[in-house]
Amino acid sequence: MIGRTVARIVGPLVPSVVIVVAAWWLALEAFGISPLVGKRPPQVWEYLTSSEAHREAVFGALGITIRDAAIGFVSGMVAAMAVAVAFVLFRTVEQTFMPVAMLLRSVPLVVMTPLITLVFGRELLGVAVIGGVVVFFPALVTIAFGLRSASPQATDLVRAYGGTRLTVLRKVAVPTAMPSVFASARISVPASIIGALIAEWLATGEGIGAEILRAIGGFRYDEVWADIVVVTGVSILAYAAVGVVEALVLARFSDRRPG
Amino acid sequence: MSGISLSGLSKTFGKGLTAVEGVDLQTPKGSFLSLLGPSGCGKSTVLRILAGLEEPTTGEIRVNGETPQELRRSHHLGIAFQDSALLAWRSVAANIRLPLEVAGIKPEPGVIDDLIKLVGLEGFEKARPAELSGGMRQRVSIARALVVKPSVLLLDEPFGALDDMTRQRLNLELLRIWTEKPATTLMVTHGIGEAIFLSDLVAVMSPRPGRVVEMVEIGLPRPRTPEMMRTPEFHAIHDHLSDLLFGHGA
Repeated sequence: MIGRTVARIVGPLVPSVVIVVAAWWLALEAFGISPLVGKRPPQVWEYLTSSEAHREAVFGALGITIRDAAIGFVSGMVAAMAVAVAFVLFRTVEQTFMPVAMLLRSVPLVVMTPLITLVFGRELLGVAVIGGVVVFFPALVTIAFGLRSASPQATDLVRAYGGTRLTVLRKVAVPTAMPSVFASARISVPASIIGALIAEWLATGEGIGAEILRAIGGFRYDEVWADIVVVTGVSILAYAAVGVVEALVLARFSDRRPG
Repeated sequence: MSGISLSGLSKTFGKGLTAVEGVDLQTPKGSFLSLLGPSGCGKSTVLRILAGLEEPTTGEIRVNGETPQELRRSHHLGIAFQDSALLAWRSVAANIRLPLEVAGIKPEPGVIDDLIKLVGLEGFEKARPAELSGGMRQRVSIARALVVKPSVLLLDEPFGALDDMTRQRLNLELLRIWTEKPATTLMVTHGIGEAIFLSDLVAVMSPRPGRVVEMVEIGLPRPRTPEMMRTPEFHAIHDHLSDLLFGHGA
């Protein structure tokens, strides 16, 4: 079951990766970008395989970025789920909070980041807030919508049997919202990486988001391109991993017997 | 002891839409009452008020001596809607178990299996609702209504969305089940035939605002059989109810 699910989700990624690599190469050639600036796939490969120090520079930074993205992903998703539940349980919370949230949302993150670092510092808490903000809003809207799609008849039924709003939430709304939770989790994967890069660039000064700028400043274009490739690769893999977990969990909540 | 007792029941929704007005009715405990009326006459509203899902604007409600809120809290209420309202991700057995989970009661061993047998769904215990026909889903929803051993049963057009043949068959089944597990019952319907066939009492309602036009006692003896639907007595009651619903000479 797990093996088949993995194959079904990862399989289609292979041609996409081939197309992206081909497009990267062709675009550089088509626009006549100099190999000094626009590195081709073989040059990136060469850079990564030729020296231990290169790998350490790229993968060391990547490890930090993965950690930062994971922190942002988890804090954003947890906050979105908690607030979505509060919205569904208490109508007034939504009416008060949603306009404020939308107002905050319309301030660009790049502008907000210095403020966030002033308040929350340049440590992991700041990273959690910056990454969380990117993940939070789209996830909130999707999950709240999912919770609210619970069948009104099933809701009435649970209420008639003496269930509270919390019972309705547990027995009806949360299972109904599972597909929305996973849909938002998938979108949040690339979003959390963007959040981590912004946090590293503007706040912490470490990880890919910071190293890539230093590499540009130092004319180390091989490293720049290698950074881009590994971050993209991680993003795709994480997206696929969420897809696999999604398929396995949703089988439990589907309208067919798992089989 | 009285079963369902409504006095001066009215319900007005937000912008002054009056769904039901001045409904008074009394039934004996353990009797089967049908609310018969055209759509939009507020009969479902009456049922929802009895289930504690709506608050009445005015009026006194007692069912077997309890208020709707007491009834809900004591878990003596079974309910089934026109929409089977099954949870798609739960098996037949798990759907039937739901009211017990909500009430925090541990099912006695064999209760679920017995109910599945009672509604004729042996072999489908593990099926999910999408694998069942509409009629089978309503059977599940009836079994689910019975799982709390209700002293009060509320049925909102339970077979209203089914084809005529399935509906006839399920009405017979409902009659058999109700005879085996008697409860003070309120059924909302717009089917004249099924109202007569199943009920001890039929309350005919007028549309907008809903009022009870007449309480008709159904004198047919129990146990009821399908043959009774061809007797002159049955037809006489049928004609009388049609007159009340559609007006004389229509």
